[in-house]
Amino acid sequence: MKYWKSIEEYNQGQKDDHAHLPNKIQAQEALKSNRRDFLKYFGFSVASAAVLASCERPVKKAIPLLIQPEEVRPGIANFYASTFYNGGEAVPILVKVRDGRPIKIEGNDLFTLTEGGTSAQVQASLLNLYDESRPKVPTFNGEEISWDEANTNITTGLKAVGENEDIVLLTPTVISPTQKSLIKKLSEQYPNVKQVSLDAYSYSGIKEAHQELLGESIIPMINFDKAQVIVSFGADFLGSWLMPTVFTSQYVKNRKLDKGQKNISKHIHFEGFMSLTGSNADDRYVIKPSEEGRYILSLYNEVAKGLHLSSLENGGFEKEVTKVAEDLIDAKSSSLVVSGSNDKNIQLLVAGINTMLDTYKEIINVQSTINLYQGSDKAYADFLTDCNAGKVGAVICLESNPAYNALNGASFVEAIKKVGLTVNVAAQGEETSQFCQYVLPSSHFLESWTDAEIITGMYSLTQPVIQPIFKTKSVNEILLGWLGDSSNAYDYLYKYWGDNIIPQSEDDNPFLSTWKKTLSAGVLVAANSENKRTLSEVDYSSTGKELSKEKSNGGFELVAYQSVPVGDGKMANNPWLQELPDPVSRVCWDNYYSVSPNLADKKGWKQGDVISISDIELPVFIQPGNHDEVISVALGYGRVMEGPNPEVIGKDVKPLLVGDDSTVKYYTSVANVKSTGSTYELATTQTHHSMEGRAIVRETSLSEYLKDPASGNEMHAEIEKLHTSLYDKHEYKGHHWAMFIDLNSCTGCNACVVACSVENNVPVVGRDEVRRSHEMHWLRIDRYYTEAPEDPSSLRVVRQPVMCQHCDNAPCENVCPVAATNHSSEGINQMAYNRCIGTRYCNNNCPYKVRRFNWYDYTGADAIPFNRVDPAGMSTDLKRMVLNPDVTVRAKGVIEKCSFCIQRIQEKKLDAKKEGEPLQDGEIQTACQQGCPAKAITFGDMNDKNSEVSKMMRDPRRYHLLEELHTLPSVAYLTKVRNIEETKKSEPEHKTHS
Amino acid sequence: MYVSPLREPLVTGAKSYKDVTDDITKPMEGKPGKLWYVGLATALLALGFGGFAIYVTVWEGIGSWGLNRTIGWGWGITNFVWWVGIGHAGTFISAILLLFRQKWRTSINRSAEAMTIFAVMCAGLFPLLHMGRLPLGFFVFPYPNTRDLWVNFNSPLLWDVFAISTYFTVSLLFWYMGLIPDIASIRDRLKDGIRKQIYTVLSFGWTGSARHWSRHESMSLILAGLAAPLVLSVHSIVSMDFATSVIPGWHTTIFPPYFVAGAVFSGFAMVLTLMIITRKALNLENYITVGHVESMNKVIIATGSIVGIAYLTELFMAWYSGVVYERYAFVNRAFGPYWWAYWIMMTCNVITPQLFWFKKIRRNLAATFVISIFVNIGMWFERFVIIVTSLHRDFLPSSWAMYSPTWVEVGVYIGTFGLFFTMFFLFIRFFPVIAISEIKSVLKSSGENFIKKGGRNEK
Repeated sequence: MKYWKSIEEYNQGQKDDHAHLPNKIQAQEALKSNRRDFLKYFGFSVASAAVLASCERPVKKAIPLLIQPEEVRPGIANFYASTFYNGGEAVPILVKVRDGRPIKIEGNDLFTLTEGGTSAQVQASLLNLYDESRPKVPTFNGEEISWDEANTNITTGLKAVGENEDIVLLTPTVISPTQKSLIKKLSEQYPNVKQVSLDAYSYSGIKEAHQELLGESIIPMINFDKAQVIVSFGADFLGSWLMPTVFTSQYVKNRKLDKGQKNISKHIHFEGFMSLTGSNADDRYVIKPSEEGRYILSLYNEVAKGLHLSSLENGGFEKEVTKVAEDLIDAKSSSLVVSGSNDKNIQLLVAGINTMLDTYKEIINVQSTINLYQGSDKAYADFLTDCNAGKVGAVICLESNPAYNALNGASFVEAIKKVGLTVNVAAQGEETSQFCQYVLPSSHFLESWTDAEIITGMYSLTQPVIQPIFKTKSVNEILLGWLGDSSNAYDYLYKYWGDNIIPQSEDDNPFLSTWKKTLSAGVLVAANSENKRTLSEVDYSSTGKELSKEKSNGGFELVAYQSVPVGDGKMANNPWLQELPDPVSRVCWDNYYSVSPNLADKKGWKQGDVISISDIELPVFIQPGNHDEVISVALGYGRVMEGPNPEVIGKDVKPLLVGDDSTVKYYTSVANVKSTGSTYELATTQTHHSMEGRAIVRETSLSEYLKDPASGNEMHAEIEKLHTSLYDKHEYKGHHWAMFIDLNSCTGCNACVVACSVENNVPVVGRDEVRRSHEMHWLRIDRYYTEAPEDPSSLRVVRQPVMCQHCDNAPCENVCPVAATNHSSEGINQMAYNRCIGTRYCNNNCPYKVRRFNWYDYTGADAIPFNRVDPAGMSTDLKRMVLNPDVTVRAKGVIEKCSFCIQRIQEKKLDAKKEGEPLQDGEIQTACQQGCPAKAITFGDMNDKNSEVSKMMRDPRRYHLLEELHTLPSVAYLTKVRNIEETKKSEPEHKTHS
Repeated sequence: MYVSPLREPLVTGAKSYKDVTDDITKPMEGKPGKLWYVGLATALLALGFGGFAIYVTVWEGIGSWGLNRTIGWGWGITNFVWWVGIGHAGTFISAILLLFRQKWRTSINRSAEAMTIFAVMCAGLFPLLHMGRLPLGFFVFPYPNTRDLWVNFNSPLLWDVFAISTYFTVSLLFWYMGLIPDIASIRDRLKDGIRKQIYTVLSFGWTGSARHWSRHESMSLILAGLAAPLVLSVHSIVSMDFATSVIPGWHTTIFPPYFVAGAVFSGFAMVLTLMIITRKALNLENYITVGHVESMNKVIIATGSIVGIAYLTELFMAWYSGVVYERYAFVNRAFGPYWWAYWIMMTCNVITPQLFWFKKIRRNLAATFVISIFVNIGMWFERFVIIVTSLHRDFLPSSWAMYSPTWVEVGVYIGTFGLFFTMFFLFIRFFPVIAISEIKSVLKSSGENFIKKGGRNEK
């Protein structure tokens, strides 16, 4: 039926112009609601009400900026130059700040000694900023007081100190010229102020030796990059000794075989236990720590004999070191001997050998000093004596934490009971705080203005990148407060630099420009100071006599060392470091007594059996490469790890080392080793230590390499020939990203692992989860032993960083039912986290086992609110500030893995696009690459014929991990080349197959 | 119809057609016995425990299982494959034996099919539960969506989704198809009441007319035709979860036939385990005779031997390939830390079923029962060996790890037993355990006098 409205319409079929307007009747119809409509609206409102009511919207405090700060652009990161220093190593850094909060630390590449390298501790130090357990307000006997009150009371207290009493300022080594000047001012104001430096690890011996040699108590600068033969007696210079980041950077320069370099240095290591440095050595001699003196004496004699100089008392090991001496003499004036001992005599004799070898020219530069570790065992011992004698009226600990850091913390606690005024300035929870009247919270270095002179003439600024989070003040501000100086730390620094440091600079620009330049660059090199130190003639005969008398009594010896992750323990309360597996043992979250397999066999100990040495009970870890009579154990433990369930991690072993005299020795003989019968499960990330004859790490010797650069890697060419496929090779039209890892450069320091975790928001899962092999690290450093484990000196160690290999023929990609992991057009194997349903099929099918599954809600990103598993407390509001906003925080039940730092690639690509310039090779740096102090990782575009990686593609040392599987990885490795004479049976039995 | 005077009768006890109906519907009429209640209560208890374990799995996360970065699948997928395998007997008996006109199937096909359905339900739970994000499990279906996302048809896991769901649907239809005449019989026996109404609805208006029968027969054949390839395809596809991967011990072309044989092997073992009890409990010894047991034992020895040859072939290929990883995987299976699992598997699957070469053992119910349990255990360990021992030591020794289940995983497994037996107890209470109409068609396959004399009735 058809209705018409007018005759015209009926006749002509013409449409009424106003047909779209509802007429009255239609409108009325429409307005009448019927049952259907009612149900529709009712249903909708009920449903929406339910939905709205169920979505709890948290009230977020977002206060808009009234005045836009000049440099802050939302979503764009700024980098500020600063300096990492916490009493041990100092490293110039760049801090990445986004939206007002620091989220990443990189090395400062303008600092010539590190060239942008970092260490695991530098990377992790960021987290200490966001630590809820930091002291937040000044307290007096546990009661909160105001800063003004505290300063007034303390200055009154200082004034009240009697004339015959000392005011002792107990500091870690102060490397800040500004802070030094403030302390000087303080001692001008209070004439009885005495500064005592206390280092958590003592280097007194080396300084005392140079006192004798140079008349000045210094640690001279060592340049490992100029040494062709390096002989180290227990100096773990790649892991913890003096400046491992700088030394690693120097050391690997002579270990690389790229850019036409055809020679690598020879590294000979003597030690009692397996250290990171020892595991990198070409030749390794396993000796007892008590034999070290006589070994060095023997070496002295052999070198002297070789150079026709007069030798000393017989050391008894002359035969063993003949070969070493020959090597040293052959490379005279480019050879170096170092020792990690804290014994003055040993260090003196080492200096004697170096003098004979002309090392004190290029390699050891006495004109330039390492300003770290200025503490003196004797000065500290004197301080304790004074305390006990009642000669000390006030003790101010400036972030030095003697109750833990001193070898005998208990004696300090005893001693300060007799002191009238005790103040502890602490940036972290410190053992000392509970024994002091006043506890003043100091700022984290990322909240402070200060500076550092790490090496003579090499200055570095520390600038704050965030307002203090708590009511803290920087040490300089606190000192200024006590001086009654109203200027703030910045003003003081600015003025001090203007008066003292800028004039030293070679830069003849006006002050402001140099200051601004330094502020931007972070580092400033002052003009060379004149050669003022000369080596004096030393008679070594008495030293030789003394050392030859040293007897090792044949029993067990215990060596305490600083582990790479936790070091001296200052940063023990850092979940990133606690979860970082030790590069040698691959154990985390604990310390343990490492014993050789032979010793364990003899004693009937199994891994995890708890043994007790002088009442310190720790589990046994079986460590190939240890001397059969040496038990090694890491320092830096026994401190409280804060978090939801605070606990003491490991045991402090320093009480074992306390001797009768004041000198600090890091080994001791132990007589009393008891089994306790109980066991303890260590959290380890690697349980199998042999490559099983598989060609996983390919290596060769230098002599073989020089004959054939592809030696050790013969199978690569063979496998390349066998790569066949039914399908056409996929063409990558734009970029094709690739990563190269030089196994000869990688020392295994683990800086990359932490860098990766920080950059990519990798969760920390805690000890129990690591025990269950649930660790989440995207990047791991595999460590394998070759040769016989029962012969510690022939044991070889190889390391291999393994992350997602970004296979172009990836086994993980085709098994995902929902295509959550797939291949990008630039050759990156990518994860779509929100598509992942968590079947873990990809993980099973990954031959490299680099995929990580979120077993629990580690991050708080899960929809279920009450199921978080976060034993390290990493998902608290404050700690979450450290998250990188460019990287998704993964929820429970999804797989995650290395993304080649896709966010960094994307950022640089966009930058290049905006500028309209092609992307430059080297512009994109992955987090691991940037953090690496050894420059072992190279990232770039394979399609760019001139890129670094394209050049490396042509390197005969190149191979891919498990390349015979035809997974076509985008990550490639360069074979390891050892500087050894003969090739031992290091070539794997494994041959290729089709 | 040809009536053999000598062939072993398929139904003993000289049953009349009425006897058959009476005997088989008897467990459904009147009150169930105490044993039934105890059984159902136990099953429900297990189901409840499983439910709690599932709750923990979903709430806490897969971390509540014993899996780790190296071993991504453990008990969960082991149980999945095991249950799917068990689910193979029903369809094999109904479809393939129907096509081969094996008349002895009529006594056992109904319960075997029911068992298949329940087993597939249990199996289906595991791929769901092992997902890290269960609520998003629907991502595996290729449905059109605004995000332009599509599933990955290259993934064997996706093939599984289709294989299992198809298999479940066809099995269910097939089973129900066969049930319709029997439901109608029950309906007709019932007086008024709610039960009668329900059975009336369930019987789809079956009147037993010649036309109904004709359609029923042809439909059965069509479904049998559809189901027969499924018997082969389902477990082939399940095996491809492993065979298409790169992991040594998984990456094996022999897997599809080997898995199918293994599935039929384990399915028959499970049917035997259940039937030996059921025939006793429900007084069905005349219908499920020792002859039936013997026939099934013959299938067991055939499939068991295929499985055994497959094991040996795997070992040979591992050696012959010369691949270090492959060789190591098999040496590790037999002599590595999980050696015990391998040898349990070998003993239960390869050695004990060989006893069935002896007729005495073949026809001995107690021995059959024990061996069938052994096969069930052995086949579970086969899957465990394939999944866990292959994964725990693959290519890079740095990542090698160990695996042991947590109580949650064990709980989920127990829960699936609960589910299975709950369903089974309800099934024997509400549906005829033996296909009444079908068994009637084989009632006269032996001479009446022969049967009356007792034939070779050895009940």
